[in-house]
Amino acid sequence: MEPGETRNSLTQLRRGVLEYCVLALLRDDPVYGFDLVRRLGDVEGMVTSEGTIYPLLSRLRKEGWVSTTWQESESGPPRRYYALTDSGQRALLLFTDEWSIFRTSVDRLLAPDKRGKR
Amino acid sequence: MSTISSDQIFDDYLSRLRSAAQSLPADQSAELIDEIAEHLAAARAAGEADTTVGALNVLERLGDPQAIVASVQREVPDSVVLERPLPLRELLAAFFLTFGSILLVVGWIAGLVFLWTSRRLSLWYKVAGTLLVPLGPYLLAPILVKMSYTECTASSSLGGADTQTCVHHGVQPPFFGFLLMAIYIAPMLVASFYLRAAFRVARTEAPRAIVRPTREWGPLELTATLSMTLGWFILPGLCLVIGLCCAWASKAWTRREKSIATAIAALSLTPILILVFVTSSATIFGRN
Repeated sequence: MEPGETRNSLTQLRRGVLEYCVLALLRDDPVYGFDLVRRLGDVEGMVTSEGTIYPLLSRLRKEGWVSTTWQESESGPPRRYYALTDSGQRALLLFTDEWSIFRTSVDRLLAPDKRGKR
Repeated sequence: MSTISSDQIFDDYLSRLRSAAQSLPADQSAELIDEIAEHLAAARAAGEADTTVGALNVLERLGDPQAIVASVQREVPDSVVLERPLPLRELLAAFFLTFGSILLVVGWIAGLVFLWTSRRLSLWYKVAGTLLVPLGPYLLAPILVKMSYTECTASSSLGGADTQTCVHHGVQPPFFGFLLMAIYIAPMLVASFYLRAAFRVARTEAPRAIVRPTREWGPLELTATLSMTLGWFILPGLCLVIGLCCAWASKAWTRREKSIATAIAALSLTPILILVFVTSSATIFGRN
């Protein structure tokens, strides 16, 4: 496999995981859209352009996993806050369980020691 | 000065985004532009765009407008799906020319209308479907039964032994049995051939873009499903009608899914139609 193809696979993987990272950031409290995008943008290797998170948020809202509310702001115009819905919560829980199994399996296979060869 | 130039930088960015977003549906384009404009306003409120360099960094992090629009299009496959056309007309023809002919003359004629208006079937299939079993199996077979019967007369002789004389009218057995069987089986065989042809043609047709409803199942979808499944055991006819009404009113199901639900409903009606047919034909065509 060429390095370019590897990068492409990683892009696909990142794209698949990104929406659950968005849900995870909303787990506790509603988050202001700008802050949400910034927090994801600050995570290394997560997103290459912050602007692409908005279409993702839009899809998650259409799927009913997140909801939006407007809240007054002290410094400027009203702000759009994103919150996790019940079905979003369920999706996140399911993904968290599956991900920990997946991650452990991949780590074991990638590990260079003898256990990985089994 | 720097504030003005930041505004200019942002305005320029938004106008590039607007022109890139023209390829998107109007609502998606408006939504995206609103969100990005809000993001820029938030960056400005946070003091990140106080300098030209600051404003450029905000845009650098946001990414190229084309890339953002491309990401909207990447998200689209979940809301828009390409659906291969379903040969619905041919499916209906197949149904009405076989089981549907139970609705005596009307069912068969409906089948002919669907068959002859099909653009996917060759003339050969249309002629074969029409002439093979005229009037449909469920009308032709009883007519043959009515015309072919065995009449027996019993006469008793003086010795006490009864003698019975039977005369068979119409088609003679055992050919009669074979003929009846053929009348029921042949239309199904022909239907399977022209359905295969129709599906093959449909596969080559251009797929249609269908907006997949992303809404989850609501009371309407639940009622449709329950009515068309459990409803059978409560009020078969009425529940089916309610189920179909709910299914077609649903905004969460695509037209294809609704068509499939309707086809299943039509097929599930068949046993009841056969029952009605058997009892009514016993009365209408009953032998003396």
